[in-house]
Amino acid sequence: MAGYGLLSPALLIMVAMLALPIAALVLLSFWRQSGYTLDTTLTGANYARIFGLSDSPTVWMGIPFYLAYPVPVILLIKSLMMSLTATVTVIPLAYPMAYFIAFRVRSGKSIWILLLTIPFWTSYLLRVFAWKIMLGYTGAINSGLMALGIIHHPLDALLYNSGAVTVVLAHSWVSFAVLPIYVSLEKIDRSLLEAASDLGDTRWQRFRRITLPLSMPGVIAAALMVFIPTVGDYVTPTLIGGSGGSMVGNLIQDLFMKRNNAPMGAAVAIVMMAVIALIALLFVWLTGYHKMRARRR
Amino acid sequence: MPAPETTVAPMISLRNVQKRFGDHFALHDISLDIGAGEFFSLLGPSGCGKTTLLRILAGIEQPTSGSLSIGGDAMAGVPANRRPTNMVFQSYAIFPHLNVEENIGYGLRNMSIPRTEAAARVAEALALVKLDGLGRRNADQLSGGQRQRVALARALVCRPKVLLLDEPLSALDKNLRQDMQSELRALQRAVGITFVFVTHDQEEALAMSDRIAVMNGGRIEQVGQPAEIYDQPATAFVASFVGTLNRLTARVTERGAGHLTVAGVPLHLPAAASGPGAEVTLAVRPETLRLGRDPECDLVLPARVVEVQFLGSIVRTRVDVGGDVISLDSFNRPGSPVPAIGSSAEVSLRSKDVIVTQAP
Ligand SMILES: Nc1ncnc2c1ncn2[C@@H]1O[C@H](COP(=O)(O)OP(=O)(O)O)[C@@H](O)[C@H]1O
Ligand SMILES: [Mg+2]
Repeated sequence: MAGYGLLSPALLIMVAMLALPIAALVLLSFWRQSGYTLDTTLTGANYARIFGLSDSPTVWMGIPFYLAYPVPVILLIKSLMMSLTATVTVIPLAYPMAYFIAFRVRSGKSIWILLLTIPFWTSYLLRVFAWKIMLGYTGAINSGLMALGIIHHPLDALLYNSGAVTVVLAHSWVSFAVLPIYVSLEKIDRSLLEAASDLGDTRWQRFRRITLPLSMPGVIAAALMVFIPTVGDYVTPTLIGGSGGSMVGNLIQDLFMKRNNAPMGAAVAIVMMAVIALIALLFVWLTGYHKMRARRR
Repeated sequence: MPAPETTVAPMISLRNVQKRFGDHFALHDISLDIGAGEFFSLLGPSGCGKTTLLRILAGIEQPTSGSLSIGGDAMAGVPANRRPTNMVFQSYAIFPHLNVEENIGYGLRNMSIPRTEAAARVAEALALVKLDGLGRRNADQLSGGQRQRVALARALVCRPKVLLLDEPLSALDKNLRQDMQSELRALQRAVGITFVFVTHDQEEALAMSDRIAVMNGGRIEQVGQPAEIYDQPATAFVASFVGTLNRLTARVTERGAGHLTVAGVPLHLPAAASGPGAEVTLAVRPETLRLGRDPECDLVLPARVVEVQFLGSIVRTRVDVGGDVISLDSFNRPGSPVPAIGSSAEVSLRSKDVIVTQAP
């Protein structure tokens, strides 16, 4: 539980800073766009449209969607899958880094933490652009492979797909994920590890039975820290994803900016937030539930 | 009293073990044999290297040089998880995410023991440390005494050849500590395992141990049975660390023959052989002194009462003998008068009870 406690000041500030804009967004989602003006009579029409059924299904990834306007739901599911993949990639990358700093570095831990923040010294946009240069048709990877004679034509599968977006999202968030895991590892009493060895554990058994369970609050915090903001990201899918790798954030931006349908954009955004909140709560409940049960037994 | 001879091969054998942290020696040249089934204590002040020695036995720490064997097997290169030892940590190191049963059964999971037998052994261990019925309790719902018992059960259930205990009673309050002392001693006799018990409390060590090693500054000053350590301390440090000690300054009157005077009274002590006129320090235990003139004692010193402490069954009187203030204990018997402060008195002792130390 202590791991969530670490998040609570940030959570408080976020609630205060986001409460008003979110209220405005909720209100907006119950209005309608009629031409160039907003119709401010309250209506659930936007939501009705998102979830409106149809007899002829739209098939995506082999799954039939019986929806009249399937784009938001499909994009949302796709975004959730991509974020989930990024999160699942980030945790095993971040964990060894956190473990190394917590258990292997003897002096100068703060220097290692400082090194972790170096990527944040440039803007997010620049970092995503750097990936574009690497993965591009004439980018570093393609020209490198061609110079080595491994390929003869540039690979165009590197960029503009959801795989590329997932890789870049994972890279962008891995340093963030190190910190909560590091904190939870650092808090583990070293005599517990010595006791586990004394009781016959090999290093691996000790990790599995003591270190990993005691660092779970940090892992949960890190997973939420990566999963929640990546679902709605639109910078990375815009630059890296192209049309194949677009996410629900792109649709929302599109509805607000290009299609001049802010109320619909607001409704999609609210649905997205509600789904993320539900998943996050379910995740916390599932992982916390296990511990609770262990306590009550 | 002669040191007890271990006829069988010792359970633990340390040879010239040294431990260095940076350029600080935590242990200098420790050589020690501990017999099978012994309750052996490491006694010494904080920072003298007791925990370090215990951790070297457990395999958590490696000696800088020297060798060590347990149960006849050399321990060089044997990691902690494969040593026939288990440890009760000073902090107890109870796993916070596991309940009492899971904590106690932790080590059994690493042995190939059938599930039902493991459960039976955990139940047996729970009963042994009198925690029956608390098996499902979570670790953070335990009192200090209960945590100590869980740590003990968790180590004992693995049936080690040697149980290592690092100041297991120091975190408990006084009454509980005294109960646990006799309980732990009875437990050791019942299970017959070699116990290596670390403490900084000399009373605890004297009360519980078969033998004691008194440590100071990373060295062993003396190894012996409690009575030996107490009655015949080998060094000035042992004499002052174990038990209360009174110091008396004596003046040598005849060179080489051990003739001295204390507060003007002559006495003969062959052990004190210094040049005439030199001062030597004599040590006497409070309980060897009698207030008043005692016919069994060959030495009577003039004294003046400085302070009287009433300790219940015992009255501790502090008297001035030729400028040195010393304590002596007498039983509080109804009818025997408590001496008045400032009154003059006589202190009797037997010259064979005087400890001559080479103290400065
Ligand atoms: N890991 C370590 N690093 C450096 N010095 C240590 C370490 N462990 C113990 N020491 C030093 O070794 C000496 C003995 O410590 P310890 O064995 O814990 O003493 P005790 O248990 O008798 O109080 C102390 O001076 C302590 O500071
Ligand atoms: Mg210690």
